[in-house]
Amino acid sequence: MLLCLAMHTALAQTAGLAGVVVDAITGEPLVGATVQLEHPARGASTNAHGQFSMDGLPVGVLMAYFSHLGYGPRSMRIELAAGEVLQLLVELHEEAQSIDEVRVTAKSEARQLREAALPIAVITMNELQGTVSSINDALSKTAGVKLRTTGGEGSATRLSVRGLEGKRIGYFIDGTPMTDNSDFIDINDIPVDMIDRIEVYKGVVPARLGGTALGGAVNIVTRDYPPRYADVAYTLASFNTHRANTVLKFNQGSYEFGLGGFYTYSDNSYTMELPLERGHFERRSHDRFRRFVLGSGITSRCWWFDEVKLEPALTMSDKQIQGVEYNIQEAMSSGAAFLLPCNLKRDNFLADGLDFDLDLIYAYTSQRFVDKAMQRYRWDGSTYPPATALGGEIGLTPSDAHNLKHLFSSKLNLNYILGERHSVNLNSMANLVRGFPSDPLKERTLGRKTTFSSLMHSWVMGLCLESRSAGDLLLNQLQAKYYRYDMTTKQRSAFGHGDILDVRNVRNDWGVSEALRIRLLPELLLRASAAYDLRLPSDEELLGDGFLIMPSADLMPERSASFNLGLLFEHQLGPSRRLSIELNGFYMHLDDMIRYVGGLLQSNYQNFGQMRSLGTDVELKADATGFLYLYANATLQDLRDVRQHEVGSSVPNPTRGSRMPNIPYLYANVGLELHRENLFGGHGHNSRMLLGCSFVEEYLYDFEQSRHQERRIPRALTFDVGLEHSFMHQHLIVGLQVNNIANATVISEFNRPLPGRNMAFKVRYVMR
Amino acid sequence: MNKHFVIMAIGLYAMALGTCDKKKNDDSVSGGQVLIASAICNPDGMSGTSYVQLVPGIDPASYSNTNALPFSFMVIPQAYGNWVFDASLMHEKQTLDRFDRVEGHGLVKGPSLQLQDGEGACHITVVNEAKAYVSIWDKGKLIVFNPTTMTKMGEIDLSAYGANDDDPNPLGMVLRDDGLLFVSLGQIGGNQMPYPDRPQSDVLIIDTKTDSPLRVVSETTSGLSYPSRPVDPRMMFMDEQGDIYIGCMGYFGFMPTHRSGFLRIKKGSQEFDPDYALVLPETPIEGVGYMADYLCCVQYAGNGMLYALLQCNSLHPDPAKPNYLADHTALPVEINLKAKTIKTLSDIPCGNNFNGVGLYNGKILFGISSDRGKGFHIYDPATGQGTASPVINTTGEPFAFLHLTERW
Repeated sequence: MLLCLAMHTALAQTAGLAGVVVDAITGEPLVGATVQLEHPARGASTNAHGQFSMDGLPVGVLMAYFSHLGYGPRSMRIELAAGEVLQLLVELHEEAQSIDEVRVTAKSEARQLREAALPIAVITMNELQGTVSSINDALSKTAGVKLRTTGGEGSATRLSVRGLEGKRIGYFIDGTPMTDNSDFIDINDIPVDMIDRIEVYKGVVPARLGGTALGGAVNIVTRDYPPRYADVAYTLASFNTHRANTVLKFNQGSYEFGLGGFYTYSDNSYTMELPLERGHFERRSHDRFRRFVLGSGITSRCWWFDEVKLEPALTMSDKQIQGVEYNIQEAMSSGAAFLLPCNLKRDNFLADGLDFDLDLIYAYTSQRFVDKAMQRYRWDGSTYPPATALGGEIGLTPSDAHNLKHLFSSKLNLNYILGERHSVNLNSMANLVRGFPSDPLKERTLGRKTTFSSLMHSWVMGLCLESRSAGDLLLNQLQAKYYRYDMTTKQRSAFGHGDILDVRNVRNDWGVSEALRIRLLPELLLRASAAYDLRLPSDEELLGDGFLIMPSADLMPERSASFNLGLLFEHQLGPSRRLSIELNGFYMHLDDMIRYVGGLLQSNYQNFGQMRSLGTDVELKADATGFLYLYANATLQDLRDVRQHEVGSSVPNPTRGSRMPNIPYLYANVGLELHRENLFGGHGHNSRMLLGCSFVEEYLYDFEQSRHQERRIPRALTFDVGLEHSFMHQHLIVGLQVNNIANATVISEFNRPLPGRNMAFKVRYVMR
Repeated sequence: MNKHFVIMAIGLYAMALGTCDKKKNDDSVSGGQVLIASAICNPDGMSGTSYVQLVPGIDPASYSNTNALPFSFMVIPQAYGNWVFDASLMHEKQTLDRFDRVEGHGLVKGPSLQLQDGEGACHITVVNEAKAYVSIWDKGKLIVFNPTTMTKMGEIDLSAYGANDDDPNPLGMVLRDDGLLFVSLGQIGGNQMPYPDRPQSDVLIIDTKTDSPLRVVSETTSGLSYPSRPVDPRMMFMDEQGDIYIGCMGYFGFMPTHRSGFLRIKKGSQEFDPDYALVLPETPIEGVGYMADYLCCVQYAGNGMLYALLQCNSLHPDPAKPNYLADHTALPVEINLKAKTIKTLSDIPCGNNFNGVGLYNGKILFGISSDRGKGFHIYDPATGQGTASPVINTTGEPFAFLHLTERW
């Protein structure tokens, strides 16, 4: 199908032709599509954004042909008027092709990534479509990945990749680390409609992403949009949850303009059973979450760089604090951030084959936490005195904290193609973080200053050599990283009553990894990778919180040695039908594990502990028929404490060999998707139905010691179902999703009840 | 080929699944009148579980936790006859649980007292089988309950006695023969510490006939503050003469104006003994050249002799960055309460900050984690000899030892 929109530009007696070629279903721009004209015989290819242009064309009627591997060709008759630049939007439908007796199917970027040497799972836009839920839902259906959630919308969520979680997992948006902004934009806030794919790196993190992560990384790749595009979506979900998002984009000459944003509101007012009072149910009444994000972008292709992009964004959020053990009715947190990212790109920069990609970011963030209630609340609504004379209903002191932070970040990526089969990639990422925390109320309560400003520089440089053998039989990626950080702050010695001391920590370190992919058979890949890498301590780990958590100036990075082995089998069952089976085994030994060490008076982060992880995951995906897609995966991960001795002594470690507590060790997902075009007649309709089942085996909150062990996170079996119907060739889409249809009790963090059965209805309109 | 591949994949996966946990051997016993408790920290460093079990005596043995019952983390269990109470100080649960020692079955779960939102049960004083008190340390009150049925009988509101706030933080309790209940008031503010400008100790006296508070007595001259300690019910006790001793924590050694040591209320008196204060930072310890900062745990053994582990902050290799698990800073000592003297004990090593002390037929059991192992060392006051290594080895930090038939 072709859509054309004319835009007239004053030219001479010739005419021009320009436009973009996209996937007819997904709207994804097609890179490298061919555009051919007859009389005159002219041709062009689409660029990285699916765009093409030709000028100096004769006035009159021409035939144009559009083709792309894996897509059915299109032809059209066009008529060019003098001085006109005719703009086209060309939509191609995916299908297998036969060229010179050899069956060739185009490989999408997602599939190319799946065939990379590094262990990776790729969740494509196709897999995200049909769900009205979130990125978290998509991630939690992935082998080796589990989500640890504490509540509803906006609650603290930890992603666990093969059992490693928290700060060990890196989050990236379009390759830019979110580390310092994760308090302001959670990956789960990003509407699935804006996402092209999610890359989940398991174990080894590619150097090109920059940053520091150990257990894995999640890279959210946002979509490229056609030249004129509008997308508006609204979701109404249980517990008074509303989500709205929009993207508007248009091109003007060599400029692209975009505006997008989303707003999320939820009361999270689900009913929970109080963990300390079984049989007592309460509706959550102080769990409201609001987040507003507005982003804009301007992209220019008319300067010396191939592309210059400026994308300022603003985000604001606030969240009430919901009590679970006891009632909390006033405390809340809020945050705001202003980000100014700039991206510069140029291929063949300074030399042929050298691609240049530079991100410069400035971020200003403001975060508040207010807990100054002058009374505390019981579940029956009655009150009792606050924690201190100055108030406070959480913890031991009231708080009116206001933390300001300035972040400057630069990320340079240089990719040099050494020949047909080799390329080298240099990535440099430098951060400067200046923090200004304050909490005058806490200081009044304690009678002393507890927080101090800090300055932190960090630099991570990665070098990756990628080599490919003839026929793509072997693919090798060798990468090395250099890390440096320099942190300066102040701390009080001895529980806040000693002198104020200057603290400085400078450290240099390195890591290396090697990944190999062998094509054993045309349809069977073997992947092996090994890494000796590290994770730098985070701000909080190094600097503490100025009060209960002391700075740990001499904290060392966590160091790991890991090995991954995997087999990927992909078989074309027929046109548009594919079977994929992946089996992975993994091993990791983690040294100098950074742990939070509780003390009688103050706590801090310390390096102690060793852990090893041994596991396997298997995943099956199949387009069983033209309308049925099946998936199933299971993960067994066995994380064990391997410390021989108690820290600092020769006493045997009593938990040596015990499974690490509070980490799921066995979980599985299975599901199906039915999709049918024009199920109810007519044309341009598409219907999808999804059914998913998730299982997590019971696991312990503590190290296993006694047969009377009580604190367990119970086994969970949940079923989700989703329906989606699109009209007008994917322009109007409506969806309904019901999660946890059996209303099973679900807990992923000890004593943190999650919502039971809940549903969401979504309507989306796309104009392109 | 496809079929073979699938079969191979399933086979490999089944093999991998076969590596699941095997149950640990059941190698411990359940019985006797000696209660030992050990604690295992979780990797988060803040949480964990205590494991409590009954063992036959103090003969050399090693005990795993396989048959032990999980109790609240690092809170010393309290016993009355065959009853053992588990008080959830830090709100791990909202009940005060009773376990019963049943011959041949060890500890068996009994009834529980249901607490209200956020009430942290602290110390328990049993008057008789029909009446007991539990101090609610973070809600400014005592709960009166029937310990047989574990049902609530009433409350004693103490909010009027709070200093700077509405919660005086009732902690330790001693019931005297004259029917007066002496309740130590922690008077703590932010961060669970005393108010810096209030280096004093308060004790509230309650008439148990009417369950009404009579008066608060204060000791303001010695600098001893924070009377009693939430996790240790033995910090406040009455000796065989009827004198009440109150162990004070001070500011855990971090604020010189707040000090740790002992105060006394003499038999029949309703005032602090003005002539008595044992101040740790002022009392030399025979055998070492430094002084202690605060009391970790204590056990009165009769005849004015008290055994304790004393925290000595100067023993931290890096005092600016104490490591409470790795640093061996708790010194085992004998304290003569009458003479106000302290001496070290031969052979018994220093332990880390998770420790305990108990009494067994005149012998003292020190629960210590050191380079020599984890478990209970035995000190015999009659011979003045101690064991260099643990006699009872535990899995985890040995923090509580109770011989259920002992008076103290």
